[in-house]
Amino acid sequence: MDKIIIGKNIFWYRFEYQNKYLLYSTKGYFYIINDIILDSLILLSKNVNNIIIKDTINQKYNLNLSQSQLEDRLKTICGVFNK
Amino acid sequence: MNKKFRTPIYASVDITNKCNLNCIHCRNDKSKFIDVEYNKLDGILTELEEMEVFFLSIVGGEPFLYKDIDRLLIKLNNLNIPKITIVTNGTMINIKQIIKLNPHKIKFIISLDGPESIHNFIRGKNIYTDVLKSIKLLIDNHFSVAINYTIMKPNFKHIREIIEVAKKLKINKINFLKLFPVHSEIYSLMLSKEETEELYRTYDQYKNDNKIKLSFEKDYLDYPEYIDDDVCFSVGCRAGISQINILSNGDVVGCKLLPQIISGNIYKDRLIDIWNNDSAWELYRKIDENIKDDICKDCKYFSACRGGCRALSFYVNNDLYGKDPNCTIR
Repeated sequence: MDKIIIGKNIFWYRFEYQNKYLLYSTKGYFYIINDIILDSLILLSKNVNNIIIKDTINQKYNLNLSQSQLEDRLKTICGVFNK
Repeated sequence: MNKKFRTPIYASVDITNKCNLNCIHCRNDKSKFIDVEYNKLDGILTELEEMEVFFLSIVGGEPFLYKDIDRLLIKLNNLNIPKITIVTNGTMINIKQIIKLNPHKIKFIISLDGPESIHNFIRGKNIYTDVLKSIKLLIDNHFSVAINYTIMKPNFKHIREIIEVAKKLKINKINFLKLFPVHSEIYSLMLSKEETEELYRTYDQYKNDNKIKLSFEKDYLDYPEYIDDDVCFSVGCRAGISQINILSNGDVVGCKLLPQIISGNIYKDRLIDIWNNDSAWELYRKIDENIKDDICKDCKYFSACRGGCRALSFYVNNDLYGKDPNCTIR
């Protein structure tokens, strides 16, 4: 199992099925996330700028996600995990 | 979405059913004391690691009465599982064992059911002082300690006191647990609906206290059930969906409160084969379809809670798919 560290949070993840991953925080919360969100979280953990995260994800997955769409998703996960 | 996870998120192993206490709410089968054979246990722990289980709980009986506890502690120290807890009554903890453990790896959960007189009454022995000493010993050795507080009539009015004790001891978390009426003697200890609501009101005053983390089954109602198609929570009954339990006789069950519903045995089959055998878990994996309570299905929380606790329904209503008697929504 691999882990992602964002600030004080440690998230572990494992492949689940159909490009989905199970993300677990040592604070006790779980999410099922897709590979796009996983890649975004990994970039976030490396302190990559949000604009660069958006551009990288859009290019890799041939998407047109807006900055706020992606930020909202990441904030939701990290925000809930921070409860 | 798949009904079950690829492999369990949570696994608990009852390494022994031996215990040195005689608690008033005990559901342990005391007719025959059994330890899981160490070689089998070692293999099971490795298998859980390979299955990428996130959370392993070592339980009893009293785990520190397990005949091969020293070998087990060394094994736990070296397991690549993110969260490992030992659930203990706190009376048998030994400094020689503790100092061998990695406090960043292993966490402890200790049962504490109230202030001194209440705890000693519930646990059937004068052990309160020893338990507090064990907690202090663990915290002094940098271990994370949480308390399990099983809610019942003798102690539901004392949660304020235990929160204050916990804060003084620098305990990170208190888990308030439901009492399960697995045999008739326990019925008289269960809270009425009015008492449950009173308890919730007290709990709500403390739940945002930033000096200690409190958890309660009720908490799930504060969670978002589904944020969108990709992101979700899994709460409610987790038996056979994300949770597996191994009993000291080797039986594999979805819910420890329903040990009569057996999905396999570690002495006969590999754990992963048991998990993948859907027919062995059918009673749990088809809960959503089989819930009989129509009001429940209309509830906005149903997708998250899946009808609440099936064990409670089974023992109170004699129906695995009936109403959860602890639900305060309906």
